[in-house]
Amino acid sequence: MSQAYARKELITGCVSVAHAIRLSDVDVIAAYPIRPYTGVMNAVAEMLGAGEFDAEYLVADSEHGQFEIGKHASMVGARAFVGSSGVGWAYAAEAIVITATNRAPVVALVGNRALDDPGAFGTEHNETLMTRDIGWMFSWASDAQEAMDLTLLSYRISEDPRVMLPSAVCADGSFVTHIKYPVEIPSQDQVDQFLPPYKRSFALHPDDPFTVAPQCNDEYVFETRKQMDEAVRREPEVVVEAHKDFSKIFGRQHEPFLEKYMMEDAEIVFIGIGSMALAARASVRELREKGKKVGFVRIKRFRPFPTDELRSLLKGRQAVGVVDVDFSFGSPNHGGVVYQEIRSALYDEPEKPPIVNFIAGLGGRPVTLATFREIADITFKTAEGGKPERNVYWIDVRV
Amino acid sequence: MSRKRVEQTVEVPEDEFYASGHRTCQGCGPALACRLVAKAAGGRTVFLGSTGCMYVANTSYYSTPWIAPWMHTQLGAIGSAAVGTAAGLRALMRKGKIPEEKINVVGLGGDGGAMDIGLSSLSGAMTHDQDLLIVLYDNESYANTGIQASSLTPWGANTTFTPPGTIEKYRVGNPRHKKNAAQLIAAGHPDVKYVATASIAYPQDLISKIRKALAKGGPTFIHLLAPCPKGWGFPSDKTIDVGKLAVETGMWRLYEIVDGKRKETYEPGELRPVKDYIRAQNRFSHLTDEDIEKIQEELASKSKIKVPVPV
Amino acid sequence: MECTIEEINYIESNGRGVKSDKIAREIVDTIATAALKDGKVAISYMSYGDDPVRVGIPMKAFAAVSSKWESIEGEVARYNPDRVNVSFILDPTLSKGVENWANMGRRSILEKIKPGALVIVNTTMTPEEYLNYLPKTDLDYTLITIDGGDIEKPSVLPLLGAFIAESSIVSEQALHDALGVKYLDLEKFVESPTTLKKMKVPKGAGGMPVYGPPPRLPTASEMPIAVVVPAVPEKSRNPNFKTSSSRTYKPTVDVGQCIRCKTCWIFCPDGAIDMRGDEYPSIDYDYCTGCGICVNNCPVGAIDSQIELKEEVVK
Repeated sequence: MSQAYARKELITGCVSVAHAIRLSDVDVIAAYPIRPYTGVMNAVAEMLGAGEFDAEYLVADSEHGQFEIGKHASMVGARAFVGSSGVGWAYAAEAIVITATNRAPVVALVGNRALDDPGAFGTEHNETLMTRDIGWMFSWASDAQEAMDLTLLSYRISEDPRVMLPSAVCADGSFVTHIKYPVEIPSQDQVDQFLPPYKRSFALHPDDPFTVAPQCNDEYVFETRKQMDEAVRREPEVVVEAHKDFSKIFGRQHEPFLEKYMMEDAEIVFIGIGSMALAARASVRELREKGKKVGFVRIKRFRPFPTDELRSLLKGRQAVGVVDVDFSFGSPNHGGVVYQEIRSALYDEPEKPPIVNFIAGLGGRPVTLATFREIADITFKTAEGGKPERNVYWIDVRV
Repeated sequence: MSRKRVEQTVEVPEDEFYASGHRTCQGCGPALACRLVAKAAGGRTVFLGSTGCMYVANTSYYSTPWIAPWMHTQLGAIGSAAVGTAAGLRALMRKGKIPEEKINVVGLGGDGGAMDIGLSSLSGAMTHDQDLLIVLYDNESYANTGIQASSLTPWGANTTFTPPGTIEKYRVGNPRHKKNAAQLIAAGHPDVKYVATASIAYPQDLISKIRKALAKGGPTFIHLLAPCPKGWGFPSDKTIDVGKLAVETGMWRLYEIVDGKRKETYEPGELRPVKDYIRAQNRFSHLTDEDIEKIQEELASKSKIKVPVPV
Repeated sequence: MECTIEEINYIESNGRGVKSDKIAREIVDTIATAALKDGKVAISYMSYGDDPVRVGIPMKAFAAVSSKWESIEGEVARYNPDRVNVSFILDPTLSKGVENWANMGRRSILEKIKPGALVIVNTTMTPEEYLNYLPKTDLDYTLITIDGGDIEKPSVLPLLGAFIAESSIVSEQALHDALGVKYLDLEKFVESPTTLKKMKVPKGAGGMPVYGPPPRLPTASEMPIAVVVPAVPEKSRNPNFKTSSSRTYKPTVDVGQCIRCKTCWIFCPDGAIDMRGDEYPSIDYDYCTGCGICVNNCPVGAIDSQIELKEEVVK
């Protein structure tokens, strides 16, 4: 059932991703409930029930089962969609790792959620960051519109023969998953122009039999890892192409890796991921009105990490405040994950701006304008002093 | 003013071990389940609860209604949590590190947790010679996440994963049939010592079964039906009515299995038509009379009971 | 946190879980959709901590409307606004306040209103009558009462009709359009009430006393490790969470009719009834959630229930 025109609706991030699934003609959806991503599966179930598209919809026994169903559907050439949050993603981790090593271009929605214990439904990025090494692509939406857009882009990029690796679209719990934003829902024609069908070169079928994933020993595994490394190195080129086409057709998503907010003449830079961008942008405007030359960089695509672009973007800045909505206990300087990756990306630069890390928003505590005021004070002091007084600050926590 | 005191019809212990002050729905069946189970087991018990309404609703936020010790465990881990707790206590007692005494270990898991994601851990728990009781409180859905279908959701139920659709394929809502947990555990696990079904609408029956299970020693299992006003769609004051209707229509049976032998602990004199039960719940409002007849026939043939004459 | 951004209109809708949460959300969604049709920017959401909604438990939904995205952008990624311009109260018994999770204390239903706010209540009472049940406030507001047709599940149209008669946050035409469900289609017309029951409430008015301050939350150094919280003492109830704000109806036992069969005590999911030995049942009204199971199951009909607009404080 195709729409002759695109339309605008007030919908949550979960529902907007459901529209992307409908428009992408996904073949198999495996569902399992866990807050805050469940809404996408509720919306898909309703769309299927109304005949808006056709797919096999399985209520799985667990997240592990859910991701296994998605992976194996993909291996016979079916376009698959799964998703989870928090400990659910952690429970599925075995299947998640293998989805990448099987080269199954599954797309998952992750409704970012703090890991147990205690149980808590608020945003934290650790569940996805915990799996950053294993070959999935990760992109982070800052609002409901972007959640939909990134889902469409993810199928296109994942299924590209140069890549053939799975993607997770991350959406902050509550702030992106549950808040209703005005979202432009594209027409079927637009999506058909952008997204070709899924063609898997080795799809399990009796017409062309082969064995997938025999047991191996040390004589073979290293080579399979090398193959994956090469595929991941090809990703940026595919990402750039996809965004070019997307922005031509839909008029959005011009920047593939980084959102650059008021960065042209920024001396002080904040960096972060996800929905904190909303408070960050407002904070940058507030500080600019006071005469401070501040900018904000949002990392949209975390894997593959945009190393070169960030290096050139941060060159010559007076201080960088990295805001992590995650933790990495016992890491170098006890800093967060994004902080470490940025430091690592900048290591080879002869002149590096001082970097200070802020651990904020854990357990879903909102990162607000007030949070950014504190972050700004410390980052300005860091610029003045030429180096941070402390490497890592925990903001807004009761001690 | 001393009016004739009616004989107390139910023997229920007075002390509470699951107190007031929890964030459950008005009329919450599972809350009553926790209350009655806690009364029956008493204070010399360690309770474990996997993720679900009886975790989130009970403890939101940073709080607890539990008087006895209680710990949260993962959605799929109720069996393992009980085994670990029981084994730990046993080792410490046997080695003289803590005083020897009877400390009950009771795991409370929901239908989604115990029979879907936690089936492997539940099954495993029924194979170890550890003194534990798993109580599966069955509200027939993943209720805490907003009512989604589990493998114990009955055929034809409206849940957010199985909404009744306008196209035929999705018309009935939940297309799967309710698994039989008690039979699965009893028939397939030679080491289990006691299996029973129970209902919060029959509290004396429930309490005596809990006590029997705990007195047995070894792994034991009770499948406890706990109607849910939000998930099943009935007014909050009708929880006990619906619980009774389940038994009186034959849709829920009350029995226990010891040494492979099944004994009914309560049977209604005459069964009411299944329609009475189905039509009392909004989650079935989309089902036609033909659908209900089908349910009635399946019940009759599976349970080998006489089909009641519909009124 | 002081919000210094101008031009944001916040609307809140107070309902009870499962009974009126969908209505509460429909109200804020409709207003937000209308704002979009007016060419404004808007978002809407339910308070995340209220999710999942549970039967009877108070919940809030919000919409934020502004002429520019830049005005609200910094306020979007939160769970609730600090202050609202408009507050709908869908069940009048919410006058008893909101305590929808532990360790928050009892909060006034008017906790979030700004000076000059518009408060619209679903009730057949006049504003003057209803004011007797509202707590004193240190600011002025406009109080409107409107009959939504049902105390627990009011109809949306009268409430929005009252809203549009008094407020210019969105245009009447846009609201008409937005009421046509999802797709910008004109479907229903709002009936504006010809006689609006409204009253300007001055500072300091209100028939009920002010609530105490909320409990202080513990710090990381005060909290025991491994997320351990103390058990409830024996023969006691959870001191950190009084659940009476869930009640629309309050049950009372007529001991003259009671036969002490203990049915009510056994079946209370909240364990809110005390009944030891030969005693008659005594309901602990701090913890009764008003589910009605005792009323419905009493074999002699000795328990009655009444709409409860204010709690009697038993000293």
